Amino acid sequence: MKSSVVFVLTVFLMASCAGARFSRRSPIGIAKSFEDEGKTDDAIEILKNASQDPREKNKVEIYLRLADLYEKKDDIVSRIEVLKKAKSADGKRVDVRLKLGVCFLNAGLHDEAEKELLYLVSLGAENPTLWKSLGEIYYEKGRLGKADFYFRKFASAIDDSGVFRKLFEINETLGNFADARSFLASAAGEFSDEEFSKALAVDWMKDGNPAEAIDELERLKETGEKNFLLGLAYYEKPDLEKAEFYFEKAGKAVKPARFFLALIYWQKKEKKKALDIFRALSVDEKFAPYCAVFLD
Amino acid sequence: MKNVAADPWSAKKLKSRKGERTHYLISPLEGGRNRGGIFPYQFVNLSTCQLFNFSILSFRRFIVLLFFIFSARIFPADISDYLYLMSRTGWARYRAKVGVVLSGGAARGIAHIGVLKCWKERNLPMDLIVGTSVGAIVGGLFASGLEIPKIEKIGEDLNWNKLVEVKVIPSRLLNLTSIVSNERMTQFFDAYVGDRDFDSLKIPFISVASDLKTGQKIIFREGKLIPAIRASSAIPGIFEPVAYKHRLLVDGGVVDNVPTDVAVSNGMDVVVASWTGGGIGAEEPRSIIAILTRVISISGILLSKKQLDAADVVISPDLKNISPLDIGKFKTAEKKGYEACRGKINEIKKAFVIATLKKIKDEK
Repeated sequence: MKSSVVFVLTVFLMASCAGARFSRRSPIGIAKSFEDEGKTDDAIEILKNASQDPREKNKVEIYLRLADLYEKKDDIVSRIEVLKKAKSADGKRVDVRLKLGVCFLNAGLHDEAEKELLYLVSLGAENPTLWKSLGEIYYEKGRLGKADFYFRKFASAIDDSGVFRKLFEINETLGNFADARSFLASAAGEFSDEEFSKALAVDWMKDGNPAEAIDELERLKETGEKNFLLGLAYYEKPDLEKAEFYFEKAGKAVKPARFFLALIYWQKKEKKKALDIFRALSVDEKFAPYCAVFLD
Repeated sequence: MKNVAADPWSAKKLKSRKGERTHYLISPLEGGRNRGGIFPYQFVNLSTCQLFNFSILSFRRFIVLLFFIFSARIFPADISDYLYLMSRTGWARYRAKVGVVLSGGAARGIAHIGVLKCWKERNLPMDLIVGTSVGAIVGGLFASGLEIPKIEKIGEDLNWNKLVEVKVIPSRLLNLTSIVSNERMTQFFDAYVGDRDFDSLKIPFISVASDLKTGQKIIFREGKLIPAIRASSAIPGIFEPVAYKHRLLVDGGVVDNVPTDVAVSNGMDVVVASWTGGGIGAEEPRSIIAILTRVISISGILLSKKQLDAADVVISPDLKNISPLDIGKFKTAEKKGYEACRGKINEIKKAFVIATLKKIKDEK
């Protein structure tokens, strides 16, 4: 009888101990309740303590949660630190490395971000955030071919007018003018109607098609810039008479128009008129090296 | 500055906003215009609770600044962009011709691939490639129409074993004309360039070699491509000289490591040199090949100064940690070449525009 009582008590004791263990709230849960009450610092403290507990098996999740809290606090340095720790705890977690890579990118650490994200590419990861981030890195680094590659991959999955705008800029620089126009159309939301028409017109001119540029520019309301761009398109055509008309119409304040007007005078052998303009413009350092060609 | 507490009007306004992000309130200062006309406005920093006055002079500057910001929005591109646009499209008659000169430099010349990659990517004008030594190899591959990824693949897979076959026999050492035979080099070029003539190239190309018999600079611009590239890159003592017609040819770098004069004499208005021969490296040369390449590098640097001065733009990749034998450092060298070229894009465009304007100026 006595031994039965001892046995039953022992079982109860064990069960209660086990119950207590199972019902213990996880640090993430506790942190969440603090967070819900607006006590972010307390939530961080709980998770920091838990991350230092050697018995804690769920460290990667704790670090990820900490990283989210630091993001709320705009503390990118601490965020990077905890994500680095998460990576050390489990280097195979793709989500951890992606977050770390994006964090590096946001902190302007492009080399580190590139290394982290290229590792994911080498694993065969397919993820729009990964593509966009790599596109951003290469865009910032001026490696436009690679930026174009990753932004295109991203754009094929997700419509993002900011990315389309960058693809427009990149493809204009790379000389892929038809592609640039297509991206410009997709990024239309990023531009006002006027800016859109101007960008499209300049693209047509770069592509050696001034007639399309003229069509586009004629829709714009009357400004000095419109007249300058129209002059430029006619000059490219080449229709020097109309170009001269529009460059003059653009007004003296539009210096690029003045420069091209001087070039037309020069080509028409009205050199004195041309030199007067070149001389006046040469005080502006942007124009000086080009004016010097004619003034020397 | 004065404490806002001393000013009842501002203190009242501030109480409800303190603690928020920094905001400034602007209020007309009573009698401002009559106080010598100096400052009619007063600012309040809502974070620090401090007041400061804003003089009419600064206000004018502020308006000027706004005007500039507004102007920048209206004219996002500057005159250089428009002139470049016209030089590329509208001024076909006057368009300046651009020659790219690729120097020698053995394995360091891999950086030329990065330079050409950037060049192609940015759609920069290119009317002629002149190459000497490794510059002739890279230039020849590019001019023959091989795409950059293909050239990169060739470069990545490259190792000395693919290129050379050691033929040293100790008893006949003093009679050897070179340390390695040319068989593999020929096979290498055959695989990638084939039996091509200069006439069939996508971009006009010239390579430079040196004649061991006369000491002359030999310029290849016609005939078969492979002998020309082989001769131009036959580093003396290492690769066998190339017998061509009545001549015995070795590396062009012996007489001219960066032949900018060849580009000029072939009608180029703008000459851009990609120079990978600069700097002799920190490592002590510890082999026959390393010593020979070092000797050629040193003489090449001395020979090249005048030629580099003749270039309109010089692209000099930072290759101080890459020796002429570091064929395995492909990625680093290529990246350095790309970055160096990217850093010179505006200079190249400017030189191109100025040369085009000069042609307009000189038109009769």
